[in-house]
Amino acid sequence: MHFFIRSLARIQLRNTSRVFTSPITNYSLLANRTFSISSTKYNQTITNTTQDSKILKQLPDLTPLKLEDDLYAVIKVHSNPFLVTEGDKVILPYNLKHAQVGDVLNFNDVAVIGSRNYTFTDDSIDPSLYTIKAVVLEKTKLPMRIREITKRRQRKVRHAISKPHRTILRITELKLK
Amino acid sequence: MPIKPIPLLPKFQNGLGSFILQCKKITLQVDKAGGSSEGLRQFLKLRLNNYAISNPKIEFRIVEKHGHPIIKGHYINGREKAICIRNLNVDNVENKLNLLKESSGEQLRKRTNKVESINQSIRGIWSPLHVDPSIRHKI
Repeated sequence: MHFFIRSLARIQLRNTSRVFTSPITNYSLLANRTFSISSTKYNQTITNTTQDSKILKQLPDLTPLKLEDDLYAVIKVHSNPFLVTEGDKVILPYNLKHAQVGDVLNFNDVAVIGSRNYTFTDDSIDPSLYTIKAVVLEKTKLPMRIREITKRRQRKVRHAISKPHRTILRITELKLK
Repeated sequence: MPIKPIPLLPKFQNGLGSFILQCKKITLQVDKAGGSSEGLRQFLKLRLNNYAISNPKIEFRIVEKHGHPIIKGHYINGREKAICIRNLNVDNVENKLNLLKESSGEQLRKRTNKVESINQSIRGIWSPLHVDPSIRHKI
């Protein structure tokens, strides 16, 4: 039905890597062999982009997903995954300093988009396939915790206070383009 | 008389459709002569004008009262948050105001889950009876 980038790439690799050479039997031929000097220098890395870009340009066909009602997605924030649907509250375990309350955030690192019957998975799905947006609802903290730290045979009790930050988002939009 | 079911009312979820800032009013209680109000007095003199302009959704009210300075946030859900800002300097006073502005008025509580949702599970509940019999686990 739909072509996945990864599976395509794997097929391509399989086709190209299977080149078998017959074992050398006639050693007299070895003398006639010539070796050309490699154009790549020592420690030089070459990325063969011509073939990859052809594969990447081919966007997967997500029509079965588009016909479904509700979608879910696994979004990643600093490589921390959150499984969300539309209208969910996402609780980030830190203070998003650069975002104000009421700001709209666009997510572009998404691992999974799926519905009840279909899922589409990739390392990071091409952002041209979906729109996922969230609003910063509030910046709060957890209630203050006081932990008593004691040492053996010492009367002193140290009180460690913690009141960590939380940023709360609401997913306002989750759809395929 | 038949029992009527409780009608399903739409739940207001801030941000879906439109976002509404939850803090509607901030009162700044200041003492005219007290030493602990020094920072707040400076804030009122130097920064409050710009701060109020940059936050047009919030009403700022100044109350003159004897004692330590207190700032109070009033929220849409009916709750209040009060912070005593005695002996704080101008920057710290502004930080405390930001804290009131950014909170939703809800009481601080433990957050156990990464994601809070009221939606039904999209993928549904897994059932062993609907698995293909050829690969089903046999006891």
